[in-house]
Amino acid sequence: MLWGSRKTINMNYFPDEVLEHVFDFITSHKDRNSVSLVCKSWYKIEKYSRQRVFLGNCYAICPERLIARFPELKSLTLKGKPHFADFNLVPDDWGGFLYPWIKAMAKSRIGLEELKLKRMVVSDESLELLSKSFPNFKSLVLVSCEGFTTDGLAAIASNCRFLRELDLQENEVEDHRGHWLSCFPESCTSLVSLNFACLKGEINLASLERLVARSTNLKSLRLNRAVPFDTLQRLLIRAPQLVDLGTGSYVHDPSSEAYNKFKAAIQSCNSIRSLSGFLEVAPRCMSAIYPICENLTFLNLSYAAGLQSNELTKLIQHCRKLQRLWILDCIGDKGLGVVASTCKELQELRVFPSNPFDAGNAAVTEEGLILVSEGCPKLNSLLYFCQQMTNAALITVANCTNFIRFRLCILDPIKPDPVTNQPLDEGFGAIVRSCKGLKRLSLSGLLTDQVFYYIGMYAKKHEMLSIAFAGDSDKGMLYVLNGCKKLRKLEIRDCPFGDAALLEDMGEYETMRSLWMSTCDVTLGACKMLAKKMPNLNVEIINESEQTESNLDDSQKVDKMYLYRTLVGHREDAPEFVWLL
Amino acid sequence: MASGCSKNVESRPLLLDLIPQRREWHHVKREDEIKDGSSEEKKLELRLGPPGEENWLSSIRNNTEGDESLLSPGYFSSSMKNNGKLAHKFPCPEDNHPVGVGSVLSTPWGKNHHQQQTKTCSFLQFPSTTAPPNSLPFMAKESSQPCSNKVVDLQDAERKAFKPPANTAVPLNTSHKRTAPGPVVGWPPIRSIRKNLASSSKLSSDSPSVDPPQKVASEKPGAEPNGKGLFVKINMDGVPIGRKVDLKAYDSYEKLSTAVDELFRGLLAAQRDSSAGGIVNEEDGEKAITGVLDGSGEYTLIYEDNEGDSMLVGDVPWHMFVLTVKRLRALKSSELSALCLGSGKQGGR
Repeated sequence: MLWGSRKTINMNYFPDEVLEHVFDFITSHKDRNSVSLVCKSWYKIEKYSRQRVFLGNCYAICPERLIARFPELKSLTLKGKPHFADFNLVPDDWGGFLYPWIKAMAKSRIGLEELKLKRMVVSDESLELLSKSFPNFKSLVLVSCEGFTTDGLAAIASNCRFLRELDLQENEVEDHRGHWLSCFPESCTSLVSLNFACLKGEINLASLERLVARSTNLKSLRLNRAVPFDTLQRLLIRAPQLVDLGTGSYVHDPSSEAYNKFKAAIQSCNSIRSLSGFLEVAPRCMSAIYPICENLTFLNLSYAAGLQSNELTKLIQHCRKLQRLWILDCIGDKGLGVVASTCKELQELRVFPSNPFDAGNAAVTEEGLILVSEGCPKLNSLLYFCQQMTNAALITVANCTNFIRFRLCILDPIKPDPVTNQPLDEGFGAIVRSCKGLKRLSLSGLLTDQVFYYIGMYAKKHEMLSIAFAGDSDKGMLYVLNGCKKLRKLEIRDCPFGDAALLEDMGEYETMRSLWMSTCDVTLGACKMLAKKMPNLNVEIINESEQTESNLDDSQKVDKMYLYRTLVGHREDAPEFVWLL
Repeated sequence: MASGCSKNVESRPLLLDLIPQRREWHHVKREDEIKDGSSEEKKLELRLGPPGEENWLSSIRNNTEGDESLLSPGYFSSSMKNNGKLAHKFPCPEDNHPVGVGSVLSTPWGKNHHQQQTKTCSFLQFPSTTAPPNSLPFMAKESSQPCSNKVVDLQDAERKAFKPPANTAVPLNTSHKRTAPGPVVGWPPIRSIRKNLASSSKLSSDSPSVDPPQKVASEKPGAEPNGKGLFVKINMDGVPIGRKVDLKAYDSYEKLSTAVDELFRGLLAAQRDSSAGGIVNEEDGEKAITGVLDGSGEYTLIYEDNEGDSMLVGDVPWHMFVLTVKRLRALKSSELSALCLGSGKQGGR
């Protein structure tokens, strides 16, 4: 109707506030990035209204430029080290330091309220500065970080008056056994989420109880191993409104008074939807939690190595509404069959190895996976450590076309299909062919270039690919780079991919966040060439041998290379063993 | 292709002879056998381009016309991998088109290839193709590390014929199929937290262990599991009173070493005071106990493992140590050589 008339409505006639209001409804980072590209005025409005920023690689830009770009920043997510740092492939001190960010934001009077960090090095100093610089600070989430102690936590507790969330997931924290929990002032009643499960040391239990008692909004509480069963029971009485509970030590005598009290307490916690912890668990005590199982949507028993398969299955039979399950492989194939027949709402399954270094004895095989894929129609996310896998099984599993994340780890990384002795190319090929929405894939088992051919051809939506001990030649890597146009992160270890593959399409790397290659066939000379030709990439070599850069000649293979796109050139905090080409 | 196959086998009974040799190689790892193997392999090598290349079919035909078998020797080695151990892969001379074992057999193009595979399998009656993985007991004894190095050396030699040399990087880089020698850094891809789960929980739970006996430390006396810790006795030479230390409170040898210092520093000083007849030498006072791990200090840490042997602390990764340690002892370093050490390391480091 409007197009036919001579007057057209121009969005720019609206006052800025209106546009800003419209933009408020646009929450996805990608969409907001697109909005800012439309025109100058939209860029400006979006810039000043942007409050949440996600930086997948903290070295892609520097703090000062970030602050200049988004001066109204309130919520920042930063990721530091490459993913393979989780598996000890990246030496300590590689980088990813938080301090410069805090310092810059403090100086610029950014009103930071939320900070979420992954694989960063967080010093006590930075935590202290954080706690003192941002009066409205509300939420700190640290995932797989390191470098801080409980002293830093004490600073956060003492100084962040409006703290709502303190969530520590799988961090390396030096425990000074101080009383950081006691540092929460009596006036602090705003806590909604408190997770300290990864702390190894003792906790002041009395302080914890008082804190929980006065935090009437507390919805999520995850305790560490040092919190004994008695205390757990008392905490539950004070916080029956909990939605997410992580137990500490779950070791007790089933005939004891404490156990009976616990059973009574947990019955009134009918809001609990998510259960984790069981960092220490005695068997035969799980029946106490049966009453809350029927409402659970997330169950994490992946640290509960003391539970055997029959106990696990009895428990799971009560969990009909489960959507996410993290479990150890001691559940066994049969146990997974019980999951398949009980948990019809299951979307995410993670099966971790209980004996990671004993490749011959993992308790789950392809059988378990088949059962789950056949029984759980909503399954879309998988992490599965197993002893073996067959092509036939993967082809069957591929009938479950909803997979967004598919990570398979066969403990023997080059194991073929044990029935046919063939590589698993066909199986994975079937997965990528059928699962058109697949975004993340991790491969293992015996694999040739063929599987990469399939990936390049079918995996159009792939964003992250992890490859280990696979492929035969450069062609493998080239299939991937040429075919997967949406690839953001590619990490490769121990594959025969060399210079030809690396240098074939250098422009490709600017469309990706990062590339990791270790123990491949890439030479120093090729890395240097790449660095020279692509000024918007940082090409870093991690060298752990004694040789210095001058000793190594260009034809020598590099052990570890990590490259990423960046707007700010070489970083200044690289340690000696990282060569910036 | 099928006819080519049978013809090949008839004209090359040597192929069957190779099979027992190969088994022995895995078991015995003799260099001369390997070298023989390599020349055989070269002849038998099947050069295949990756799928999609027009001329790969013709290259197969070229290769099979001669004395070569349809199956690369790699085929046999891959089936030997079924045991779950990381076996080495036979080297392939061509860098860029090595024969992935599977690629010979599993290319999607030809259903006929699959048929050939089964035909040749049954023809040659190689047991592992149809038998379950455990039918190759000899593989259980294989330690792949020395083999893989040799495999890689061969690869290097062959590679030089095709490519300019000058690769001096770690051998693993050069093999086209990764042969992981024993535990590989960063594999399986799990966080450190998850690595010791089974061991630490078995010590805290009272359920029967399903693991092979050598993994379970809790049933033997000496290490007291309770819900909260793994307490082992620790004695220091010259100090009559022992201590108990909770190994679960530490995750590294350094921390244990610090703990030893904390536990015994005072006791040792007190002991010295009394033995010196009450004359306190102020310089001695309470001296820190250091160097217990590397032989540089006055005392050296040793332990008794679940087999009753005395072992030097620090050789194995921490999580393995925790699994097998029964009791600790801080021995005077000067007396170390007098003790017969189970690990065979005598006289300290």
